[in-house]
Amino acid sequence: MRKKSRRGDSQEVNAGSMADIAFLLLIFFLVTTTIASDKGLSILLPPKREDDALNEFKMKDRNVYKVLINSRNQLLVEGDPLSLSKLRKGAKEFIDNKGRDEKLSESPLEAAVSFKTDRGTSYAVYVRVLDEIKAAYNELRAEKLGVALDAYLTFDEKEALKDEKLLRKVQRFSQSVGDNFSVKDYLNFDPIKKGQEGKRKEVEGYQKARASDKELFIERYYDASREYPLRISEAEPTKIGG
Amino acid sequence: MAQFVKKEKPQPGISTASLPDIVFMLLFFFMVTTVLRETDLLVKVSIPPATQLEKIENKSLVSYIYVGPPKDKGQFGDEPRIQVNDVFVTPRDIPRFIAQERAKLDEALRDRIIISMKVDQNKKTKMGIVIDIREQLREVDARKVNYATVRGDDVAEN
Repeated sequence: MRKKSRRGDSQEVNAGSMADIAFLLLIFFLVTTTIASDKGLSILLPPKREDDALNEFKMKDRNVYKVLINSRNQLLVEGDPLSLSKLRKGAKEFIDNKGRDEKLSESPLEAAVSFKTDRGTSYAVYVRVLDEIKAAYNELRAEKLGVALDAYLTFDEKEALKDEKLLRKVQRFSQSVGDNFSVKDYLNFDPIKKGQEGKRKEVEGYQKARASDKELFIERYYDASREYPLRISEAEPTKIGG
Repeated sequence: MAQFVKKEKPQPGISTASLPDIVFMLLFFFMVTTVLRETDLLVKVSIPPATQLEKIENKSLVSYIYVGPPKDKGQFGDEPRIQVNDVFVTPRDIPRFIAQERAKLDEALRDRIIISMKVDQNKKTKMGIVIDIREQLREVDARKVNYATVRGDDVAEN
């Protein structure tokens, strides 16, 4: 009788060890995985040094915020020793001076931070100083936008670029000028600069497109970056001394 | 009275039937997110913290340079060294490395190469070695540099 009842149903594979197998694989991937972290502080290096040409920047002394770090990781800012915690505030005051104080910068557009390290400066300190200077710029931009610094930093630009309203504005702009502009072209459009170049038609088209709908955050985001352009320059390393 | 005698019921165990499903789910998550390490790190790199992080948008443009003290102290000492791909190099080899990395990219994208510098935050790692690399990068016009950092809360005061 037993034999008979068994006939017909197929023998099932025992799935009891499935969990073990899966665990084994899981542990393998857990160990080998590295969560990609491509984040950091970006900087654009100055172009290659030309020995024959004098391509030094001619800048007014008052527009350059000079930061030096020596081999003992001490900070010298504008000729005076300063602690790292005060650097952000100092840089902000310098950049956003707008001609008020004679010793500080004329305007955010003119201001630049010159940053020089010794060969013996430790890298960790260098990163922290760079971080503070970037923070000064980001805080100014965030204040301009009326948001907190964290909100500014976590703003998802990629997502905002897909906004339909923005795309419509760009289209309107392209149509009124009779040329094809990308979203980035539209956002990076500088009406003051283009006005000086004599491109009246483009400026008018831009202003019309800007006013055609409610102002978008991303437009103001780009305005703020334009108003406080990131100008950090790393001074040439000197051969002698430091 | 007999009917009141409680039978010791065996505690019903938690069913483990769904365990494989849960584990498989985790497994698939890790399989999808995992990026297998391409290079074997010969140097110790502990990345410094920072607050103003920027994400690199286009990962295919990124090439990595590692700087830090060698893992194998006995053989290489403990002075910070530069590693690209799988070997130690001197700053003078950097231009050739950049040329190789550029050749891997699409022709239209070659100018847009980004160099990610993963430099150790140990006190022994000085700017000298970083400046040497930077000067070489300027020579070959690979000027977009990203110093890799991790998110750190407001860095402790000095």
